[in-house]
Parts: sequence; structure tokens; C-alpha cells
Amino acid sequence: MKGGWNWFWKGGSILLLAYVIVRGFSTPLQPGLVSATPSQLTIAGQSVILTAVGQPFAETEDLPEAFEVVLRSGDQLIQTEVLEVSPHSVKISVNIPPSMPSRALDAYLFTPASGTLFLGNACFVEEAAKGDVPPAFIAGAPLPKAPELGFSFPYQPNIMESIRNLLWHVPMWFAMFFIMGLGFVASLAQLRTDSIQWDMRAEAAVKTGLVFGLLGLATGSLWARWTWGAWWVSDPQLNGALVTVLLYSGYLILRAAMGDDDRVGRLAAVYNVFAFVMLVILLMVLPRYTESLHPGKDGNPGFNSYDLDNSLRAVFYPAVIGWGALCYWMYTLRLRMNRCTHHLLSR
Amino acid sequence: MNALLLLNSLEGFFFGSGKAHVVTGVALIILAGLALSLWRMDRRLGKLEEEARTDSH
Amino acid sequence: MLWLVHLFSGFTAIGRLFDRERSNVRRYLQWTASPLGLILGKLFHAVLTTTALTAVVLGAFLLFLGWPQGIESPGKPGLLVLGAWLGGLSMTTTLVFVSAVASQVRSGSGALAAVLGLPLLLPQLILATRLTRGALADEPWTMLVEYPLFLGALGAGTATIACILFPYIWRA
Repeated sequence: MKGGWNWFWKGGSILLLAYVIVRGFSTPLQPGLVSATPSQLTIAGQSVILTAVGQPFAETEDLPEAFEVVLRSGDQLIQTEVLEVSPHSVKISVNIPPSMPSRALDAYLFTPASGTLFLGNACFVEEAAKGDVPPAFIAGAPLPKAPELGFSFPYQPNIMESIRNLLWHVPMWFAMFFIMGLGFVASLAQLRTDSIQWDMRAEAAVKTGLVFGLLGLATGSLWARWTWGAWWVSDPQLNGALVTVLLYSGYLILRAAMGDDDRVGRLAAVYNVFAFVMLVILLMVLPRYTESLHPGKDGNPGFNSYDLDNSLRAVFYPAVIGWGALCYWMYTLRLRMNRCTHHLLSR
Repeated sequence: MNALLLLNSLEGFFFGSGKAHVVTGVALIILAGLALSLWRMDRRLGKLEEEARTDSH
Repeated sequence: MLWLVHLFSGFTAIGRLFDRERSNVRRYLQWTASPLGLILGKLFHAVLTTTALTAVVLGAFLLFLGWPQGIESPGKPGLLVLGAWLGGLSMTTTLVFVSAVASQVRSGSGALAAVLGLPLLLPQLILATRLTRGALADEPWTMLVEYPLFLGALGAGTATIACILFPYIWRA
């Protein structure tokens, strides 16, 4: 019975991760507008091309009449005419009015199959006077059509296709928190009982946690390169993560420096308790109160909007469980290895 | 297919180049390798534990 | 630059703190003093040392280099001093704890303290430099007020953890 359960959760973690990989890489991204060319407009009739990424929002045989584009200035909508449609772009012709509430124009593209695509600050009209849009230019507000999208990941500006990294980066940090927390509890128990059993648990937890911490740093760095343009930016969250990893490396250095000193268990436990408290402060408290680029911190939105999306949730939760179980499996292996070594040495 | 690549070389690369399947395949192979090595380690440790148990009696 | 000097002087000063009493004195202390009293005494010592160090380093800097070039406004000298002091304080309390751990290792405890302490000092260093830079540039209070709070909290936090955990190290 016990063996059956063991194979269930161990095999289950692998199957879940296989599901996450397949789903995570094969799910298409919802289309999103990325640019308008030209972005500097003049007060005259002219044509503009709006370009999108993600899965195509139109079929090649679709007629331009099925699409609608409006430009928004402040709270007023300017009408346009759709000239051509291709799978990833539309060409519109627009008459720019001489006056408008705001010189920055947002673009809305209404599509029959992919819902409404939005691009904030799509174009600018340098020479426009401040004021209301003359009635002749105003669009009759078209009703946004409900999207009929299949299973697809939400489009986020800047993040785009790299949203798939959410399924790697975040669960890896969760797994690290989980296993480091386990190590913290083990170290507290070690201090209380002074038993080598708890020391072996703490050591196994820290070693496993470090692997996941390094993976989290690597995937985070990759993500930072793509969304922020640099492999590393000096940010409270990122620095905190680096310090945490260094801190736990210090745990291993400390153990190595102690050698087979019989006080190693207690000293390592003291250090580990301290390290975990610092981890909580550095990764969960500090970044929340200082300015940080990282999503989920300092009023930086993003985390909620990903989490609320059902398609992403259907892959994200299995990923969290899968990585967590895999991490725990690795921890138990390390622990059993420690026990065997201890048994051999004490024979 | 290539229209995506032309539009935005980095963004279009993922699906536009048709390489998404390759990425999935490589990731699955890595996962399978990891699972295999963990499983073998698990079994070997099981044997060692068995030896240790008979040893201590 | 200021922080570099501050950091190294702090390092050597605290490194001494646990090194000095080897063998005899240590055995004596182990019999007589309570561990809590001992760590409190060390922390108090660290506070005094930091205060003195801050005064000396800041004074020397102003004397030899003058008020930083290119900054016309007087900035916030009070906040500068406070930042330097708090930054130094939270760093030294961390160092006290780390060197207490490292002193238990028989060989190469000095090097070990440096290796363990450096990553821990990184966030404090970043916070402190940010604070002093802000104080020099005369940024508004609302932007800066959280930094001294964090530094103080970090220092107090590490000091508390050190007090709780130190008896376990000492009894060994």
C-alpha cells in the first residue's frame, strides 16, 4: 500500500510536468497589437498599418468589412476605415481631426474571431489642437464582440510569448520556498532535540532547495533579458534572490569548513534558522515595500491578471504541484542517501 | 508560416519557425532522462536500505 | 566609496571581537557569563564601535574630500549621518552574528566570516548607499523615509535572531 502511494506521487509529478511541457509549449498565444506605422500622424487623411503578434487574428480570405478599427483620444473615438486585412496586420485609412482631447491615440481593433485588440499610445499627433473632436470625425461606438477564442494564453504587452516562462520560473521558486521551509522546521527541531536525524533532513532540504533556487535565478534571468532587456537588473527582488542563494551556499561552505566536528549539526541549524528568516525578509517583505519591477510587488500588476486567466491556471497549478512533488522526491533521495552514509560511517 | 518571422523576428520565431515542437520534444526528453535517473537512484537506495536493515540485525 | 571604507573598517573591528578571546578567557567566560548577557554585551560593543567609526569615517571624508562635487544644495546632513550610522549598525550586528558562528570553526574562521558575511551585507549596502545618495541629492522625505526604517528593522531583526540563537552556539 505504502509502495503504491509512493509510485503514484512520484510518477504523478513526472506526468504532470510532461503535461505542463506539452500544454505550455503548444498552446497558442492570443493575438495582441504591438505597433502602428507610422506612429507620428499629421492632420490629414493617411493610412496606418497596425501589426500584431500571437496567433493570427484573421484568415486570408476574410473581408476587411468584417473588421473595425477606432482610435481613441481621451474619451472620444475617431472613426477609421479598414482597407486591407492580413493574418497579422490591418491597413486602415484615417482622417485625423484638427483638434482632440489628447495627442496620444489608443487603437482598438475589433475582430470577428479574436475579440478586441488594444494598443495604448499607438500613435501621436504632434500638431493637433486641444479640444473636442469635431462631430464629423467621431465614430459610432461599435460594440465589442465577445471573444470566441479556444484554449490560448493571454497576451500581455512586453511579455508576449515569454508568458510560458511563468510555468517554469514561478513554480521553481515556490518549490524552493517549500523545501527551505521544511529545512527551517528541521533545523528548529534539531536545536530542540540535538538529533542527527533532523540535521540530515535540514541538510538534504537546503541542498535540494539550492538547486531549485539556481534554476529559479536562471529562468528569471532569461525572462529579464526578454522583457526588461538585460540579464540582470538591480532590483530589490532580484538582489534578494541572489543574496538568498549565496546565503544558502554559505550553509554548505560552513558545513564543509566544519568537517567532521561533532558540533556541525547544531551550528548548521543555527545558521539555517537565520538564513530562512533572512529569506523571508529579503524575498517576501522587503521587495513589497520598496520600488520593484518584479510583478506581484509594489503595486506592480500582472500577477493577478495572469492568475485570473483560466487557460493559464489550467497549466500553472499542475506545474506548481509537479515541481513541488519533484522537489520533494529529490529531497527524500538526498535524505536517504545521508542516512545510508551515516549508517556506513557509524558501523 | 514565414509571414510571422518577417513581421517580428523574435516573436514570430516561436510558432512561425515551427520550432515549438522541437522545444517541446527536447524538454520532454530532458524530463524523461531526469525521471529515469531519479527512479534508478530511488531503487538503488532501496537496496542499500535493505542491506543496512539486515546488517543491523 | 564611503561605504567601502566603512565596510572594511567594520569587518576588521568585528572580526577582532570574537578572535581576541581565545582559550583561557573563553573558558572563563563559559563558566561565568550567561550567553544572553554575552551576546548583548557584544552587540553593545558593536553599537559603540559603529558610532565611533561612523563619526571618524564621515569626519575624515568631509575633511579630506569636502562636500561632494557638483551638488550645490546642502542636502540633508542629518539624514546622511543617520543613514551612515544605521547602515553601519545593521551591518555590524549581522557581522557579530556571522563571526560568532564562524568563530566556532577551528580553522580559518576569519576567512569564513568574510565569505558568509559578504552576501548578507549586500542588501544593507544597497539600502544604505541608496539612502545616503538620496540624502546628498536632497530628495524629498517621502521617498527616503522607508530606507532608514528598513535599515533599522534589519539591524534590530538580526540582533534579535542573534540573541535567540546565540545560546545554542555558545553551549556547544
